[in-house]
Amino acid sequence: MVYAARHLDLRAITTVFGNQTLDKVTRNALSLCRLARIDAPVAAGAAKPLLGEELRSVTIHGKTGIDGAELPEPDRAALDLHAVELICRTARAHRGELVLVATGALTNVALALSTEPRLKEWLKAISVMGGSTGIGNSTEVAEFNIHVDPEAADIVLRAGVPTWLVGLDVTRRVGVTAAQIDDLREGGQLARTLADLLAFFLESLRRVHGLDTASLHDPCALVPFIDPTLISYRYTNVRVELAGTLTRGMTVAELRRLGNTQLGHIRPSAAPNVCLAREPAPGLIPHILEAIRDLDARIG
Amino acid sequence: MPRKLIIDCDTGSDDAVAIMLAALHPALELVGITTVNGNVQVANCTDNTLRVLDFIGRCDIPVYEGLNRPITRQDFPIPRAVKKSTGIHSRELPIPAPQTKKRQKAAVEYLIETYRAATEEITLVPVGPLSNIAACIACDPKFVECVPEIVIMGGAHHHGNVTPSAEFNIWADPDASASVFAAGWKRLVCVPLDATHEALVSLEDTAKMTAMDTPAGIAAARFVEQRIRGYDANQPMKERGAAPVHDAVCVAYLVDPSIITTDFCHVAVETVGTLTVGRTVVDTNFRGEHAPNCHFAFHANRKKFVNMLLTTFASKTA
Repeated sequence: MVYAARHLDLRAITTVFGNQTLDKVTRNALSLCRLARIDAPVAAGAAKPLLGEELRSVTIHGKTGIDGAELPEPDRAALDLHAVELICRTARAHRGELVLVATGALTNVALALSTEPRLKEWLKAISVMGGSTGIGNSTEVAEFNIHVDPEAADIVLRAGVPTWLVGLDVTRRVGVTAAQIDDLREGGQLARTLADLLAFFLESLRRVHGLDTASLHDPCALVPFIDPTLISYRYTNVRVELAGTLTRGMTVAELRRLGNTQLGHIRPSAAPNVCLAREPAPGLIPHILEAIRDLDARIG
Repeated sequence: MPRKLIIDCDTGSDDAVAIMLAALHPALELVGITTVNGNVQVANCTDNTLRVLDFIGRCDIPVYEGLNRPITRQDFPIPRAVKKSTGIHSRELPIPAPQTKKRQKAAVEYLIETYRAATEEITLVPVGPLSNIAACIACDPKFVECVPEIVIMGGAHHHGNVTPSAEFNIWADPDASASVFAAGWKRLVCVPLDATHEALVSLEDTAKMTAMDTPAGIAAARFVEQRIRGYDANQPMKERGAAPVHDAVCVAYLVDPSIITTDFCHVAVETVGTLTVGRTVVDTNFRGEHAPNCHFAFHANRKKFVNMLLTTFASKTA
């Protein structure tokens, strides 16, 4: 939210179950809006995945979904409007200009695409933090945001909207060090609060995954629209496994180099549908931290 | 004393190179070969295996024919296009037809009897679909205990070959593969595409093999050149004019373990997924509930591997 507020024209924020229950994540969004002086409207969305029951990641993000810092009480309520409605209205009002950035379960996005068939023409692009090639965090091979609602992710990747996908295999490769978090703490209230959140997140990642940097997964989904040089991409076919007993919720990306597939056993995949993030550039993390400092200085 | 091994294979151009390396390397004693439906139909695998042994003067090594289809499925997850050439494997290897015949005993029977009677350690090296090995496990509950080490060529983590997420050997009989990976071996080593795609053999190397003027050098050069043409056409590697020789990496590892670099983690095989059937699910991030069961090779040392092939095939004495 902070990275978007600094570099882009943030028109709306919608929430979805995932890191914690819908009520808690909506409250967190509103608190952060107050702290960062973001005035974009906030609407709550889906409380459950399209099918089945919700999974949660309490071990990483804590009981509140954003543990580690005292956030101010919200100074406003969420709109009395469903996230799906807010997405559709905003996209309609900014036809051809709006980028829908999803950093959680794709339930709202899938519901919006299904309920408003014109949405896919209205949107300029969809960008998702989710999926992975190889490494998993929710299961051996599935990333959390996709794994919590694989059917929704499948709908989004098949929608025909220009789509960017920034996965765990990329976001896990770069992160904030304890020293960078301490640096951030030198700033104002916003920077201090974010430093506390990152410190808690780093501690969880250390405990659960043995990492020594805090990955900034979600801001990475904004990167294609802020500075495309900070991550490299491959335009390729990506689909979501829905049926596997070990692989459900895994993103299956075409990463082979194929020549003439008329030969032998090689099965080609369908046409490219996704700009898949491949390699982060060294400037990525400093650029995100700089945005926090800028916004922090601006709001005083 | 040379290290004993049995190769279970679907010969196949890279299988052929693996067989020659195992049959000719002084540190190894190739006890027997079993064949299985895979790269080509099992009768062709057997015929090709006999061709190779005859050609290098090792027709003393017995060959037993194994399963002609996956253990539970009628065919591969997507049936083989019989009329298509794979480019990489020809139905008949480009060396003369064999004089020697296969043994009458079935591969599964041979494997079970041999391991039951073994007084010395015999490493099991399956480099084709795992149908025979799964059948052994099913037939004899003690089979797994009798195998000191199993070294499998198969699987892929970063990307597959037959589909975006699966490698051919594991995919060809996913149910067999799942049972083999879950069997609880004393030591399970897996050499997947992640490693074999790093151990490329080039046209420069095959020129050296041809120049050796030994049967193994001539045959290896022919097989690998066929592979290079196939790979350049349908699965180009990072470097043109070079191809992986997957199966031989397993054999090379038996002689020099430092040829591969492994991680010890849990590996299982997906049998149900529509996009991921036959994928080796490798728990690199330790997210699953299972203890590590497999030494999974993520890298291979190309130089050491190629040098071993060149040195072994140059030798005039079998």
